[in-house]
Amino acid sequence: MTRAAIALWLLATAAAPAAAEHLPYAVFPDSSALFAAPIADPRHIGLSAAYYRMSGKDTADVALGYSWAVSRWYSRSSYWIYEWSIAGMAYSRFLISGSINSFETVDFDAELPVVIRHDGVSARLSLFHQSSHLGDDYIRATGDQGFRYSMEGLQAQASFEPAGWARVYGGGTYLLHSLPVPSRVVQCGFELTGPDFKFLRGSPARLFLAQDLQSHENARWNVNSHTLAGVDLGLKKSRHHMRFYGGHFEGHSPFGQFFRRRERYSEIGISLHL
Amino acid sequence: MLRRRFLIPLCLCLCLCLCLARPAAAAAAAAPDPSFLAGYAAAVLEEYSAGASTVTVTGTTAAVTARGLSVPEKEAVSRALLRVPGLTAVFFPPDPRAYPLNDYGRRRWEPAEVRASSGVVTAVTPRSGRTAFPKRPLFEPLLADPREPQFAGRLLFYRKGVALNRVWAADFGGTVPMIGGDLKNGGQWQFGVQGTVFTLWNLDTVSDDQVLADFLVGLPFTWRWERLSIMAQLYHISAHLGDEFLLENPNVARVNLAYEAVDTKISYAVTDALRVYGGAGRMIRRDPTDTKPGSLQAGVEYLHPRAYWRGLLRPVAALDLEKHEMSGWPSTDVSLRLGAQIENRTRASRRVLLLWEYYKGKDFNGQFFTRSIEYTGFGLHIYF
Repeated sequence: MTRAAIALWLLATAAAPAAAEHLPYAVFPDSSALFAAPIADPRHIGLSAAYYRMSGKDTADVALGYSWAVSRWYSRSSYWIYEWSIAGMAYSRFLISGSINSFETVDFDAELPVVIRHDGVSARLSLFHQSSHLGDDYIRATGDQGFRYSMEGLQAQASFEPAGWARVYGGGTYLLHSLPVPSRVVQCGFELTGPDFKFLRGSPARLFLAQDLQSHENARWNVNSHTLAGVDLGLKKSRHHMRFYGGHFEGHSPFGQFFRRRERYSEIGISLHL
Repeated sequence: MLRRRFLIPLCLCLCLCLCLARPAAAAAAAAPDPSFLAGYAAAVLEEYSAGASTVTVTGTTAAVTARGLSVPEKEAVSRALLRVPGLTAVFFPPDPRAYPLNDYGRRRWEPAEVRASSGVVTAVTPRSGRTAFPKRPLFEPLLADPREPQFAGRLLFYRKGVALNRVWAADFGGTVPMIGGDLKNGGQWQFGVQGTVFTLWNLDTVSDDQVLADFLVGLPFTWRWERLSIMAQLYHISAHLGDEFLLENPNVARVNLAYEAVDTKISYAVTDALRVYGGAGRMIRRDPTDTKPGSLQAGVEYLHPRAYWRGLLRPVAALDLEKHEMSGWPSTDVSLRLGAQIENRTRASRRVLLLWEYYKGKDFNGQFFTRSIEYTGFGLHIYF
């Protein structure tokens, strides 16, 4: 039995370099579009900045977030791809006024997602933590001390791309812990991306339209609508790209501390995808 | 019993056949054309934004003169080049060592016929006018600078200074090179954006209260010539207290600290492993207006030339020294970090660092800048 084990070990060792040549796994692969974050989800993890006027005030939302793929596996047939990642984001709002910006609120997200993909179908299951905090400038200006807002749970999302230019997705959350009130979410949306209209040489430019609908338990399941349209500028030799967009949001605030507020604004923004 | 008797020799024979069959199959391959190899390798180098470099292919060996690449970058480039069919070794003259420096991933069964093929071909990667989203930053991040834009999570144990003991410091952000290109004198330039939120959380409270949040937005311009790199940076910092900290400390005096500043830093790679840097900064607009504007910075970093554990784990050490006029020129802030970096095998700038750290000096968190602190801790630092 021992000899058989040694023989099998020798066989496996001899075969190992051959297996490594077609890369059945990758460590720290480029984070990519196994499951692309929904474009119009106001809280999707990424790098973005948006400007809008709301209640007569110039306002800016800044998202500083990134998702790192830690490792990726390919099935023997390469038809199935699995990946696990770490993701984090600080999502903040400021009132902007010349050189003085008033810090309103900041939400923090941390996620541990697992993604599986097969051709145009992908699914993402993520353990997440969210917390929301008022800015000191907001507290000083209003006297509002806020409340503790945090939640942990599982988020499941599935996406289907029937063609290269279309995508539909949907999902929901299951909460493990939530303060001050339960806030489960149901979400769906679609994305349409046009062909390269050859605006710049060497930089594919594509028009896109994205719609996200979310229904939050803490807003009595009222539906938030976020629509974005714009242009996606990429590079032929790189997966890096950026989006310039205009959008419209209507619903309860995406920021935890302001979840009771109804907000309505039209925005312009930029996002980077690295 | 009979099966077992046959199984072992069968496995051993199969194993032997696999080992022997591979060189035979490879030997059957035709010797690659050196001009094809040089062109292919130049295209790979161009992907790494190593503009105006040359690749000289002699037989199946490539000699690369790429400007200003660190050891991890040379290893990443060599791994990518070794995927080119026919290339067996990569050198970065005048360094006589074959890259990657660790053996893992290097081909071991190249046929003698290919190795013996002759011909010397040199390919030059085209000088790039402008490149959007360059893959590597020209000015490497300062590993021990506590205000380096990055994604990081650090568990800190305060020894003195503030009424804090166990603290979680979480930073969200980084530096993104947006556009870059080659200079006429052989150097390279880049322009980027920076953004980071530096946060502190008190782990000794029931709900891990947020203590502060400082925001940094910057515009770095960088240049690089071989081992010399320079960064000039315009940036804005605003310092804010956490809402839960204000709730627990209603009488705390909040300082409305915000400023814009200009920094210039110069870095020089003395050897492949050792880097020294220094710089100075000055606030150009500040609130409160009586804040003293000057700062000086210097440091040294050691990046071990050899990576272990299949080329993934590389020991690092860094020391950063800073002087700030607002905390008095005589005092020096000392930041020391030791640990290892885990790096992407073909893209060196994509890395995770596990670092032990020690800090003694004035508090770099804006709201508490008048206090002296000392702490040790462990952190995870991530760069894209």
